[in-house]
Amino acid sequence: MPSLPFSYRGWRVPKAGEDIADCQDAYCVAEETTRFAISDGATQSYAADAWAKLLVKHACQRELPSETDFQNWLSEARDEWQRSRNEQAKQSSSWWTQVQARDAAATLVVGELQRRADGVWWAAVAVGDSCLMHIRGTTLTSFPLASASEFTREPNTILSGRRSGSEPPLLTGSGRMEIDDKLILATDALAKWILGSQTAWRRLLTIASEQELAELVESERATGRMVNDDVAIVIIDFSPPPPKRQALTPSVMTEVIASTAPPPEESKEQPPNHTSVGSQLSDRSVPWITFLSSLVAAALISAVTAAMVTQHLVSKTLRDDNLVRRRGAMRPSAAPQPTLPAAQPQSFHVAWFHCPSQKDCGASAQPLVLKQPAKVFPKADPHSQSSSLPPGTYAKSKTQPKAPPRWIQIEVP
Amino acid sequence: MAYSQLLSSQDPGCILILIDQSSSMDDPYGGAAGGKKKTECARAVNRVLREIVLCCSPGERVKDRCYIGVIGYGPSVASAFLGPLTRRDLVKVSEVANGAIRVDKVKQKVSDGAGGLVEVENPFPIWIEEVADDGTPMDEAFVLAARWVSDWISQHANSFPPIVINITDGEPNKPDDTRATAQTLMKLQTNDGNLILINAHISDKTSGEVALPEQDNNLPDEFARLLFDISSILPDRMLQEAKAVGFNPGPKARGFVYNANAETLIKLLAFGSNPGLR
Repeated sequence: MPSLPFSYRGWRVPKAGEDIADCQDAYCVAEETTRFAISDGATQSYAADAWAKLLVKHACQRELPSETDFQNWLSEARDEWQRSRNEQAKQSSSWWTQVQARDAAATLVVGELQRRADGVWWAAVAVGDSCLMHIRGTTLTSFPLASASEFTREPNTILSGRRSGSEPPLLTGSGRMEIDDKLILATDALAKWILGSQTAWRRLLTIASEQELAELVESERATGRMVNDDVAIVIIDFSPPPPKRQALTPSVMTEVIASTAPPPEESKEQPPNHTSVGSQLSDRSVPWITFLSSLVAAALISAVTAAMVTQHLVSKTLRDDNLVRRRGAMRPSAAPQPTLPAAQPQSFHVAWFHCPSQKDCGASAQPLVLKQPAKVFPKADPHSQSSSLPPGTYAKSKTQPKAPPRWIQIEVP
Repeated sequence: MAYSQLLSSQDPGCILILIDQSSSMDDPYGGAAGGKKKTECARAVNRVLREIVLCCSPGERVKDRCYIGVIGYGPSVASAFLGPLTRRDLVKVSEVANGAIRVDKVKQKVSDGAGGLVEVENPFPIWIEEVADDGTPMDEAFVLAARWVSDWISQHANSFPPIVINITDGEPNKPDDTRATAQTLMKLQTNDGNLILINAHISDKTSGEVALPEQDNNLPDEFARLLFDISSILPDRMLQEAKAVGFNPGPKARGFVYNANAETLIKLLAFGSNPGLR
C-alpha cells in the first residue's frame, strides 16, 4: 500500500527572553505511519519539556490511542518517565531535581491520516488546549477547541504521575481530507491567536522558516495579540507529489472529478470547470493516483450516489462545527494548463530520533545528537533521489534500496 | 494591559513576604497543625519558597522568572533570610535555590515505574527560622518593603507588579502609621499595574475565619478593618489562582484572610505567590 502524500513543516519558538533550549513544547511527525503529534509542557511543572517530548515520541511510535486503551497507553509512557526520573535523581546534586513525586504536565494532540473506504481522513485524539486545525480552501475547523474564547488558564493536562482521581477525558475528532487540505497543529498561544482572527492562519501558511515564525510571533506578542508563551507548530500539507509534467488524459480527469465531486448543495459556489483539480493530479503512477484509481471501481458502480453521500457528510461535518468561518470556493479557478508551479524552497528546523526499526524505536531510543547545531536547509523533495544532503541532516527517501530506516522527527534542542 | 504580564526571564516578577516575628507569635496556632504560630509560619514560608523554586526549575537550571524577598518584623525590621542569603533583600530565584541554610530530607515512598515502590528522600530546604520577640513594627516593615520594591520597579518597569504578602497575628504598634505606609506601598506600580498587597491574619481561634471578603461588614474590629483597607482588590488572574486552590472569591475580593488557620494560610501563599508562573 503506497504512502499517503503529505509534506510537513514544524517549528518552535521559545518565550520572549528565553532560549530555544528552554522551550517546553514538542512535536513529532512520523512519515511512514503518517502520524503526528504536538505537546505543550506546562511551564510550572517539572521537566515539562522532557515529558512533552516523551509524549510525542510515544504518540509517533504507537497506535493512535482510543478512549478504552488510553489508560494502558498512558501507563507505558509513565513507566518510562518514572524510570528516567529515578535515574536522574540519583545523578543530580541539586535539591530541586531530587524532589520526587513531582509531576510534569503537558497537553497532547495526536493525529494521523487514515485510508478509509470513502477516502482519506484525519483522525485525532486530544487532552488539553493544543489544537489540530483543518483548512480547506477558505474554511478552517479546529479540534478540540473551536474558538479563542474556549481557552482557559487551567487546561486539562496529562500528568507524568498517576492521578488519584479520574483522568481528564480523551477527546476524539476526525474529518475527511481532500487534496490541498492542510492541517495545522499548534500549542495554545498560537492556536488562540489563530482562532482569534479571520486571517491569521493565512499568514501562517506563508511562513517558510523558523526565523520567519519567530519574527511573526515576536511582533504579535508586542501588540498583545499573542500571549508570551512557548509556541510550536506543525503544518501538514496534504498534496500530491510533484508532477512529471505529463499531459492530462481524459480518463485521469474523469477519475479525479468522480472522486472529488463537490457537495451538491455547494455546487453553485464551485467553478464550473474542475480541471484545476485534475491539473494537479497529472501522473497516474504516483501514490495518490494509485490510491485514487483503486477507488474508481467503487465510484463507477455508484459514482453519483457515493460522491453525493460522501461530500454531504463532509459538508455536514463542516457545517456542524461552529468554527466554520466562511464557506467559499473549495477549489481554485481552473488553470488553462495542467502544470504545477515550481517547488518553492522551504526550510525547516530538524533534529531526529533515529529509529532503524520499530523495536529500536522503543523506550531506549535516544535522540541522535548532532555534532553541530540543527541545520536549516532547503526541504528536499521526498520523491526525488536526492544524493547530496547537507552534513548532519537526514531525510527519508522512498528509493532507499534496503531496509529503509524509520525516521521520527522529534524537535530537540 | 493591566496585570497581563506573565512572569518570565525577560520580565521577572517580584514576590515579597513580610512575616510578623513579634512575641505573640510564640503562642499556639489553631487548627490541625497544632504547633506554635512562629513554627507554622516559618514552615509555611519555607514551603512556599520551595514551591516557587520548583515552579522556576523545569530542569537542572533554575530560571530567574522572579525575585524573592522576606522581611521579618519584631525585634528588628530586616531581611529574614539566614545562611548564605543573610541580610540580602530581593534576590533572584536561582540564588534562593542555592541559598538555603540547610536542606532537610523527608523519606517518602514513590513508584519505581515497574509496579513497585521505592523509598526516596525528598528535600525540604530551610531559608528562614522561627522567631518570636518584641513588638509589631508593621509600619516599619511596609517602609522597608517600599524601599526594596521601588528599587526593583526601576529596573523592571514592564514586569507584572510586585506582590507583597504580609503575615501577622496581632495589632501593629502604630495603626495610623501602618495605614499610611501601606497605602504608600500600594501606590507603587509597574506598567502592568499597581502593586498587590495581600494580608494574612492568623489566629489561634478555630472559628470566625474570613477569606477574601469583598466588604468589611463581617469584620469584628478596627484592626481587622484596617487590614481589609490595606489589602488590594485582586486582579482577575489572581482570582483564578485563588479559585484553583479552593477559595471562592467574588469579583471584587480583597487579598485578605482573617483568623486564618494554617491550611488557609498555605492556600493563600500558594495562590498569592503564583500570579503567572504557570
